[in-house]
Amino acid sequence: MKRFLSILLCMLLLLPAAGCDSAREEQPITLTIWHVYGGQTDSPLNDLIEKFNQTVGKELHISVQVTSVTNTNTIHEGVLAAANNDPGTPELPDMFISYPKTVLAMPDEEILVDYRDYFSEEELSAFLPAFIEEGTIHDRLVILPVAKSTEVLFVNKTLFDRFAAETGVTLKDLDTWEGLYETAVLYAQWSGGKTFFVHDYHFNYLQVGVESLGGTFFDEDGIAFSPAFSKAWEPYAEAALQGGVWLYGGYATEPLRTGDTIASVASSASVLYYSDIVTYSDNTSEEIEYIVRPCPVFEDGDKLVMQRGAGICTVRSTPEREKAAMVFLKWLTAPEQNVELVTRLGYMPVTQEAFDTYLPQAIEELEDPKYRELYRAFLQTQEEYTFYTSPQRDDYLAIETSLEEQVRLLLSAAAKNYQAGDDLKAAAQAVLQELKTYYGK
Amino acid sequence: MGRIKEILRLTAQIKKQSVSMQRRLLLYWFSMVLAIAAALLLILSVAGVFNNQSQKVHETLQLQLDNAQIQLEQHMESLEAYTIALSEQISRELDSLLTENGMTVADLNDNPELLQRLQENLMPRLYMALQLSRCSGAYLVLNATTNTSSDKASHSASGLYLRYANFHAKGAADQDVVFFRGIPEIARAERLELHNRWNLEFDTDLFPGYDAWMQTEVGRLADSCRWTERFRLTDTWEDVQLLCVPILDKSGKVCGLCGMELSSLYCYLSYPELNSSFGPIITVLAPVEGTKLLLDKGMNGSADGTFLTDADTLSIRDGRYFSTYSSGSDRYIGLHSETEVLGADGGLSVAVLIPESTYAACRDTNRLVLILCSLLLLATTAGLSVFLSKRFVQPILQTIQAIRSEEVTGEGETGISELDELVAFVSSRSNAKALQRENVLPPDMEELFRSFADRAKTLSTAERTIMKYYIDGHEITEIPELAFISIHTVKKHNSNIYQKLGISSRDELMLYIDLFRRLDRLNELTDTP
Repeated sequence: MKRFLSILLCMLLLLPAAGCDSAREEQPITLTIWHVYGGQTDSPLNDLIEKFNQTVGKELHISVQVTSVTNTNTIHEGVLAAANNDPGTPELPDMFISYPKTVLAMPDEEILVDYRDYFSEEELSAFLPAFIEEGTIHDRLVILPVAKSTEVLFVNKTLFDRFAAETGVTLKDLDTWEGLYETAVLYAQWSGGKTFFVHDYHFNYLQVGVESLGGTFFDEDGIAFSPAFSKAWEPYAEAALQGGVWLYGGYATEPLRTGDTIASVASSASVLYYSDIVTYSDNTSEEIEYIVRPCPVFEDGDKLVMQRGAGICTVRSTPEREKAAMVFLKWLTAPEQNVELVTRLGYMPVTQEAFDTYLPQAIEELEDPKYRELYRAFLQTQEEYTFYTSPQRDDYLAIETSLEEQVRLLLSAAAKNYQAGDDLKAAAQAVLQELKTYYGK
Repeated sequence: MGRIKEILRLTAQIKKQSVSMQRRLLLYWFSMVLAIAAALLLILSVAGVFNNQSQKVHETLQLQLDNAQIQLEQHMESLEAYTIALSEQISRELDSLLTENGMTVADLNDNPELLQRLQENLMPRLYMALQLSRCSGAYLVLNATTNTSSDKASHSASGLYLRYANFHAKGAADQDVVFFRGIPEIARAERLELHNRWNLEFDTDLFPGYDAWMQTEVGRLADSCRWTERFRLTDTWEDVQLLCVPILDKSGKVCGLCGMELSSLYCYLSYPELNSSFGPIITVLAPVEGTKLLLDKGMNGSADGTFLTDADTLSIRDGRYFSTYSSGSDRYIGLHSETEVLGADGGLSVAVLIPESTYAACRDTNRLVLILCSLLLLATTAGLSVFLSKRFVQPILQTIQAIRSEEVTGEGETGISELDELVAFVSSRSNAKALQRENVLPPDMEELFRSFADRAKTLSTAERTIMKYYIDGHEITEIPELAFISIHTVKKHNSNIYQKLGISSRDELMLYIDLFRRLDRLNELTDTP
C-alpha cells in the first residue's frame, strides 16, 4: 500500500511538468542567427540553412531562423548594444558572425560558448590551425571559423577593353598600385572625368600597404604615420585628387553597378554582389564581363594581402539550445557543406579536408565565369602572396571607421578644390598633414 | 417471481448474520468517503474543472485573437493613414512641379532632369514616412520612365524605394536604410548605401497588380488602400507585402502608387509567438479562401518552437471550442476572425494557432493528474477508514480479551465511558459469580475480616489462649480449670480481649469465631504474630 501511494505521489509530482514539457521537446528548438553571407541579396547561407532545416534539423527538431543578414560592422554595433542591454536593442541571437574585435569589445566574453566544451580535439584538429588560433581569445575558442576571404582586384573587362583599345593600357599595369593609379588618372582624362577605381576599404589599403613596405601601421595610440605611410599615401592621394579614385561611401560594388567606376579592390566575398549588368543613368543596361586578379602590390613592396573572414560566435543559453547550435555548426563546417557555402560566396574553406578533397572539384564545377575567374585569382594569391591578419585591438573598429571617414572627407574636399596644374605633390602632402593633425600627430 | 423471493430471503438471512463491528464501521466509513467523493466530483464538475481544458484553451485563444486583432488593425490602420498622407503630399509636389514647368505627368517620360528634381523633392518625405511608420520599407513609383526607347521601357517606372538594411523590431531610430530603387545621386547626397541589387527604376512586371492599379478609377484614397499578397522581392532574400495607395494627378487619375513594405522578417520580429500553458501561440494575418488559411499569402508572426512554415496552406475544420488547422503533416488548433485589413482579393483574417500536439499533451496530462488525484484520494480515504475502524474497535477488542482472560478490574481503563460502564457491569457480575463459586468475600467484608484478624494479633499470649478455648467450644466456666486460673482472671482477660478486638460481648466474639470458621480462616485468629 505504502509503495503504491509513493508511486502515485511521485507520478503526481512529476506529471504536470513532464507532460507539457515532453510535448514541447517534440517541437523544434528555434535558433536565431545574425550573419553576413549574402547582404541584402539572395543568401547562399540562407539556402544552406533551409537545407539544414529540411534535413538534419527536421530529424533532430532544430530550426535555424535568420533574423539579420548584414555586415560585420553592423553586427558589431548590434552585439555590443545588446550585450550592454542598451535601450531599444534586440536580444542577442543564438549565433552571430563576428571578428575578434567584437568579442574583445564585449563587456563579458563569458556570455559566449567556448567551442572546446562541445568540439573534441579531433574535431578541432580538422580546422586549419591558424584559423583556430585566430578564434581563440583569452584561451577560449569563441569564434568558430566558417569561411576565409582575401582581397582581390575586380575589373569590368567590357569597359576596360574599350579604354585599353584606345589608350594602350594593359591589365598588367594593374599589378602594382603605382600602375593602377597611373591608369586611373589616364582613365579620368580619357573618359571626361569618370572615376576608374574604387577601394572597398581605404583603411585596408593603407594598413597592408604600410606593412608591405616594411613599415608599422599601428602604434600604441593608433596610427603610426611612418614614412611607409607617406609612401603608400602619395600615389593614392595624387590619383584621388585627379579624380581617379572613388571617394563616396558605400561598397565598391555600387559604382561598378552604375558604371561610375570600372575597377575595384574588394573582398573576394563581394563577388556575390557584383552584377553582370551595368545600368546607366538613362536607364539603359549593358551586360558585362569581369576579370579578377590578385590584389595589386607596391613595386618595391612585399606581396602581402589582407586575409579576412569572420567566424561564428554562439551565445550561452541552455544546454539544449547550445547543443542544438553545435549540431548546426558541425553540419555547416563539415567539408561538403563548407565547400558548397564558400564557393557560392567567394570564400575559402576552413578545414584541410575541404581544401584537399572537395575544393578542387567544386572549382571545376563552377559555372559562373565570374566565380571561375575569382578562384583562379584566389589560388594564384594563395601561391604567391603572404596573408596579413589584422592585429587584435580593442580600438580597431574605431580607428577603421574614423580613418575611412576622414580620408574620404579630406580627399573629397581637396579634390573639389584641386585644379589641373596645381602642385599635385604639395596638395597630397597637405591632405596628409590635415589627416595627421586630425589624429594629433 | 420465485427467484426474487429467493434473493429477498437470502438478503434477510445475511442481515440476520452477525457482522463484526469493525467491518460494519468500515462499511460506514467507506460509504461516507464515497459520498464525499461524489459530492466533490459534483462540485468540481459544476465548477468546470473536468473536461474544460477545451473551454480554457478557447478562452486563451479568444483573448489572444482579440488582442492580435486590435494590434494588427491598429498597426495596419496607422500605415494606411501615413500612406494616404504621403500620397497627398506627393500629388501636391507633383502638381506644383508640373505646373511650374507647364507640363503633364506624361511629360515626365524621357525627362531625367525633371524626374531627378521630383525625386529630390520627394526623398525627404518618403524618408520621414519610413522612419515614422512601423514598416520595413517605403516606396513611391510614378507611371513614367527615364528612357522610353529603352528595351525595358514598357515595364519600367521611375520611383524611389527605401528599405531597412538591418531591421530590428525594437528600435527604428538608428537603423541602416538602403536605397533599393531610384536615382543614385540622390542616395549619395543622402549618404545612403545602394542596395546590393539596386536598380534605377521599378520593374512593373514584378509589382503585383501594378497595371490594374493604373487603370483603376479612384474615389476616396481612404477606400483605396490595398495590401498585395506576399511575394518574394526580386533580388532579396525576403518575402514582402506592399501596402498600395494610388497617387493621383490633378485630374484625379492614378499616375502612380506609394506605400509601405512589411517584410516577413519584420512580421516575424514584430509578432513573436506567445508562450501559453498549452504551447506557443502563433499570430498570422492571412487570407481565408473557403476552408483554407493561406499562410503563403499572408504575414506571419514568429512560429519559433513549432513546425509551421510560411509556405503552409492550412485546411480549416471548425469545432465547438476551436477550429483545427491542418497543414497535412502537422495540425494546429486555433481561432480566426476577419479583419478590416484589405488584401488584393478581399479582407484578411487574423488567426492565432497552437500546435495540437502541445495542447493535447497538456490536456492529457491534466486528465491523468485528475485521475491520479482521485485515486490518491480514494486510496488515502480507504486507508484512513481502515485505520480509524481499527483504532475504534481496538479498545473493544482489548476489553473483550481482558474479560476473557479475567483481567478486568472494573475501573475506567478504556477511555470510552460506555465501554467502561459495560466493563464495570460485566466485572461486577463476574465477581459476584466468582464469590459464589470460590467463597471469596466481597472487598468490604474482606476488609472487615482482615482488620479483625489484625486486631487479634495484638492479643497477649494469655488472652490468645483464652480465645483458643472459646474457639475450641469451651464455656467460660470450664476455663479456670483448664487454664489453672481463677474465674476472676478469666473475666479480666475477656474484658481485654473484647476491648482489643473492638467487640462488646462474648456472643459477638463467638459470631466472629463462627464466621472465621465458616470461611476456614480460623488460623488467622490463632496464629501467633
